[in-house]
Amino acid sequence: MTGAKRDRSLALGIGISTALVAVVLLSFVWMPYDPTAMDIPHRLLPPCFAHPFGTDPYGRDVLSIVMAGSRTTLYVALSASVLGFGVGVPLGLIAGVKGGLIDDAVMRSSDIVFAFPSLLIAVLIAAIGGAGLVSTVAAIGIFNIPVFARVARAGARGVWQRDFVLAAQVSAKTDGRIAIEHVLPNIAGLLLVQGAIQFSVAIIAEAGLSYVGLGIQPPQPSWGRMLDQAQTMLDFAPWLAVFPGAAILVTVFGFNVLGDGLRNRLDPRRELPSRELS
Amino acid sequence: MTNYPDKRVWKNPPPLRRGGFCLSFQSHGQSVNFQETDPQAVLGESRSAPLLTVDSLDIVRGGSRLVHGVSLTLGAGKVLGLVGESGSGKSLTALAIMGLLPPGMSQAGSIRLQGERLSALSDSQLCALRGRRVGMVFQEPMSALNPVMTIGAQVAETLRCHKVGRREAEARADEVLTQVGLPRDRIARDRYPHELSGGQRQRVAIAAAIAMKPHLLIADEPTTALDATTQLQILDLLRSLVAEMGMGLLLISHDLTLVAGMADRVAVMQQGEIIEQGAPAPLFRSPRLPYTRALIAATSPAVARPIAEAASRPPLLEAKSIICDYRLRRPSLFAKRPVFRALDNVSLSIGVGESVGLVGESGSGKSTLVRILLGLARPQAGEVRIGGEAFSTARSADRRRLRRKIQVVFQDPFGSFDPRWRVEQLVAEPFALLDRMPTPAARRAKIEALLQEVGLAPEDADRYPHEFSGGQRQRIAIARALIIDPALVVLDEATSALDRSVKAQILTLLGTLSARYGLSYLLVSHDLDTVRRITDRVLVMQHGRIVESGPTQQIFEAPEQAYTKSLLAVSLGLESVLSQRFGGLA
Repeated sequence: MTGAKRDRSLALGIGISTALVAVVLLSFVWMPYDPTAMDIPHRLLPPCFAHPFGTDPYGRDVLSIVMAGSRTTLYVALSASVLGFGVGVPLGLIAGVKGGLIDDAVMRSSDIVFAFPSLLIAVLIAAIGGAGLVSTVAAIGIFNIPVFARVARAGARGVWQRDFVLAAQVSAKTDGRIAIEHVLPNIAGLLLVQGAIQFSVAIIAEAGLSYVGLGIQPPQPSWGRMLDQAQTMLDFAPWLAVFPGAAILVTVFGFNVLGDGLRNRLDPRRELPSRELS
Repeated sequence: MTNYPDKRVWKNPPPLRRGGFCLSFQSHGQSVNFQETDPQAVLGESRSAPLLTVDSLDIVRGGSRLVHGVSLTLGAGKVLGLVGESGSGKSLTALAIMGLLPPGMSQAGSIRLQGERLSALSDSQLCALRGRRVGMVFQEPMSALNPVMTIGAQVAETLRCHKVGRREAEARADEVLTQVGLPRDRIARDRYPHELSGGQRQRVAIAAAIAMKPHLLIADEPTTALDATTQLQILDLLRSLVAEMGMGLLLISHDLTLVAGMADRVAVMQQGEIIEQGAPAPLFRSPRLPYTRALIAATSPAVARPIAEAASRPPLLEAKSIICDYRLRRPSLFAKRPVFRALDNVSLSIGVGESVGLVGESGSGKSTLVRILLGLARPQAGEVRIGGEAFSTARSADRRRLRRKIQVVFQDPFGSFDPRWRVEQLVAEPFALLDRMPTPAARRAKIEALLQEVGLAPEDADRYPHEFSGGQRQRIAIARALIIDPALVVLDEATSALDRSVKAQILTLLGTLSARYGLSYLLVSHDLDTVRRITDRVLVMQHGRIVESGPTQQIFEAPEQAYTKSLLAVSLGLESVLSQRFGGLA
């Protein structure tokens, strides 16, 4: 990939993710209509000037619901990523730095969590705590933990081989301190890239869980549940599925591109080979 | 063309000299399109023309000429040495011959292999030529080998690339690995590169390079990354391969002594030009140009420091009967983990202000010993004492206090700094050992003073390590080691990665600092020349034991152990190598 193309994907990713945040912020101060207000006379209107995304069977404005749904999306994706990051990265660092039995224990538990599909975790959690926002975040977050743990462990092991870690040990710094001062900054790029990717995975997961009814519960709006409700009306009201579907598509695409762009920018191995010449 | 059946080509190579060998080899496989399109031109000329002719080669990047007017010739069965400091264009010349110049560089002039112009070949023809007619061996065998392929598969792969059948490739790989001194019963073919020693890896790389029986072998600093005794073995191997297979060898090195012992002809490069060229004996004995003279002067054997009164010094660091075992991987699921004894009853003592050298080939236990002396690993038995106090068994508060007396400078000037830290933070790191951190102003003042003392500018404190050259980075590393006024600095191959002239500067700096502060050094190195320059005493390690020790001069002039002698044999002076090969001065 050329430098310019790389920067284009990064710019596109930043553009889309900024737009999502902007829509979320806007939804707090202004939406065209109240997303919960029913208006039966105007139900199932196709997209028109007054309702750009059309209306649903209860006459609610689809654009407003999509905007309100973006809050849920951002909230779930962000919380799940933070949960995965906050638990996974320390675990991965400990495993990578300490090695031996601790490493085995952390990594084998990761494998076990990996072995469960996230949907199954969600079902389990919903069975225990009831479906809803918190359960959704917990299910996706728990699934994220081993992902971050693996990336952090692999990065930490690489950095731990370097001489500057020895130099820090000679200065009697503890492993924990070295992990924070030296290892974490050196793997921050890796984690950031993984964060962007997990963010988009979380958006899909939330949509999927809500679609099957295990995620966000009414009346809280969610893109995934909008798709679920739209599917019986696909023949005569396709806009009910098209707009939330497009919102999911664009957002996921945006965060994937952001992750790719960041990786290309941050990973020196992707640069053109610059040989050491003698 | 003569058509030898494939098996016969491998098993009984016809007489290896020039034409016959070319013929048999080129007839092998169907992919050799360029010989088939124009066989007359190639075969007709190859009998008379030298193997390799480079004529006024220029290499340009942007507006700057990196290599200018380089002309070389190399005959079959001959060795051409290309010497010069780093940055003189040696490797670029080699890459141009392989047609592997990095993107953004362009070349002019002609390169002919067996009379055939390489610039006339298409990319795919060039590709077929690499490996088949030209083989290359690089400096760092670990990065030249694929870590996830077994060595057998690795060598076979180069053959498979040239359309050799799988069975046959494996058989040939086995044969060529045996030829480079890795017989199947000693080194199984299913081992991975990381399981081999540096010398063995370089042998694998050489095997891959010669598997297709190339006519020309280019070796770019083939032994620089290896330790002394292994260097000799690899050079012997290259020499015998050249003799047996009638290859031409282009040997690139910054080490004049090595080239003097190998080459039939030597070319000296400086700033992209060949400034002097000739047979090694006259060239090295009576160089015309001041640059060549300076290069040669840098290789003259060091004068050992006068023997100091060792007994009068109180011991600063003592190690008593250190034993250290490593537990290896289980060979099978239920087998016991085998134990490797890295250090076997090692004792040593370093006096205040004394410089001690620790030499031995890689794998002899030097690094393990250093880790234990630095308190980074604990021995299974034995004890390290610093200033008479127990160190390896001390409580952590005491260990911290004792640690202030020992600091270290590592080999790799690139890996020993966190790339995201500024020099100020890097140099200040050992302050963590102090009970009370000095105030920021005091810290900064001390760092600036020390940077000046090691030959850098105070402003350098605000820069990042990648902004410095290798030599400057070692100066930063020395500043970091000295910041808390230690009594002993461990120099772990601290000058091995540096150019000769830079190395001399760093050694001078170390000498000045030791005289000024009464510092002791423990110099761990495979570079005996360096050891001879700055140490009072030498310890020789082999297989985890100290096999010989004594004053530096005595060890260098009258070594007792055969192992020490073999180590010293590598660091012979330039003149003694020349006299061995060409007889004494007329």
